[in-house]
Amino acid sequence: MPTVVSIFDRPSDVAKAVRKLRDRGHDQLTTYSPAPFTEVEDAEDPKPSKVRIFTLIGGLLGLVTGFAIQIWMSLDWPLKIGGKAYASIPAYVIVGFELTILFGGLATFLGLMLVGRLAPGRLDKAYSKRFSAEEFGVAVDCKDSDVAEIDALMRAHTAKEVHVVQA
Amino acid sequence: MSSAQSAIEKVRPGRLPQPLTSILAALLAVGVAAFAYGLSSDPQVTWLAFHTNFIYFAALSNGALILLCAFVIVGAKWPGPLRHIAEGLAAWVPISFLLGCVGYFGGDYLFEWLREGAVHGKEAWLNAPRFYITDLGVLAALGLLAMVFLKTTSRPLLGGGAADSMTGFAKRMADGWTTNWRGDREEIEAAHAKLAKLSPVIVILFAMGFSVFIFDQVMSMEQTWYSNLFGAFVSWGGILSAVAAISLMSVLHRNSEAIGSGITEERLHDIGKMMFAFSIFWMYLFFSQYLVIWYGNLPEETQFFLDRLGPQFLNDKGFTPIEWALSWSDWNFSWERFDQNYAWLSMVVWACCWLIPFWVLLGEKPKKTPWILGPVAVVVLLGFWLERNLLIWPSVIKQVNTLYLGPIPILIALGFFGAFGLVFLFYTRVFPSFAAEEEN
Repeated sequence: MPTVVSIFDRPSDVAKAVRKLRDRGHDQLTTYSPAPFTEVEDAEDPKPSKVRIFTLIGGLLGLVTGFAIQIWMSLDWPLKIGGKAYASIPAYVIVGFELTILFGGLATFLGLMLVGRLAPGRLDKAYSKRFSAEEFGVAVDCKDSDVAEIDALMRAHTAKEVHVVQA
Repeated sequence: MSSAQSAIEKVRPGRLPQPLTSILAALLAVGVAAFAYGLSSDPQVTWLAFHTNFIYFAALSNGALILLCAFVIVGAKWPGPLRHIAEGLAAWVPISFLLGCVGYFGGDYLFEWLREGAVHGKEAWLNAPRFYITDLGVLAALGLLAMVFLKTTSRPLLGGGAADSMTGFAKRMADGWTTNWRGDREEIEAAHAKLAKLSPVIVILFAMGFSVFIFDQVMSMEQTWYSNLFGAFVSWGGILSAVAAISLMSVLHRNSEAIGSGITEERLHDIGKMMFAFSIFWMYLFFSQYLVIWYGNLPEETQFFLDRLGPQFLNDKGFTPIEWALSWSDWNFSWERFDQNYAWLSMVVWACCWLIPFWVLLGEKPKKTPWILGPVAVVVLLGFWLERNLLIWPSVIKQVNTLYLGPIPILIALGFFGAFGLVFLFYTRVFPSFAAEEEN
């Protein structure tokens, strides 16, 4: 399946082009931009990212780990402190809370890498280093027969160049 | 909204909506009558109810003022017309100074140290002259600065013929406020410059002064108890209740002629996020205080929580055999103990101020849905009203834990609500009234 990659200078042009593409039924698209722009995001209207599942699982794992590790340690080597119970919950909230954030954050990072296909493995075929500098990209996965149509459409929407990469 | 800075907003004067104004006025009258009657029948309860509502609305309106200052300091453009709602809430700040003066006459019923003298070692701080000069001074300074702030921010909205349709008092005020009119652009720039200087002053005064005010007015009611964090904790409650009031008013005004078009889904989302985040910080402040007091387990510190949370969150289990320690889950919890002290009230406050706003507003959809955001805001506002009761009543009345819900306290609270509503309506409808972007 070929991927048509077009390159733009301005986010507003990207937003317009993406809207047009979606109107024509080309939903298999990805945008690349050097910084987040709400107008591009609104136009693309993506499904909620899968990264948040990583965050949830990581956070819950951190919470459980934080409490479990403290309760286990305090029962394994009981020390009487301040007349409190060996495993006393209020004191453990802080570590539980912090590990929730730590594990949640690390899991989010991992999720970002995996879902965004940044690592491990090779980068997207359509990606170019220019998209991390100052230019915007729109990559559309389409049928061979649609390449010409999309090419024309993108050029009509002020794409400064359009090329095709084979997946 | 990249053009927000250069957009020209003008007031849209209107009339006080009926029958709402009459209802609020009636509530105010009932409240004043209940207060007058209560002074003769049960002055203790009456003054406690007055004090609670005075603190609640003073903290709420000051919180709104601080939010406005924060918007100026960070150059926030997202609030749009929500700013005008906050201004309407902040209009109460000068009135809280007047109410503080009224409170002077109830001091003996509220403060043990004022009635019987301060405990040994605290005489230098807890004495009537120092107390009233500091606290009324802080309220007066905040009230004055609030008036300057509101006048500065309203002036550019009033000129250029926007106030022509006003009549009577409002017209005279508008004419007085717009003397030496230099034109829209110049006025907007002059107001920006002045607010940029004024806002940090207000914020610093609030941070230092309002903390001391809360130490004096709320903490010293239990004169042997102390907590450094308490001033910040209660002030934060004020800021959070202001955010909740702004959310509720935004939801209620989403179809308003003047500002309804500016109350977009995105703005509801933003103010909802703010309420969500601020409730977490409120919980965080509470827990920071609770944890060290629970851990330290010192009688002069735990007494405050014991009166409010009841015994089971402060149990000192003492030395016990290791078998007991291994059954760590045996918390010794029983529902009956919630009937002691003000424990049930504490649970309700906890639910209203953190549990509900946190779990309900966690997702994106609920924040954008007026029918969810509005009720949550009501819950938070009610929760903070109960929280103020919880902070104030147990310091004086320890045996009975339901007096704060008696007829006189409720009527006084309604009176305060009526007065606050009237001030808000007057500010947002008559003078200077809501402002909206000019269409031309």
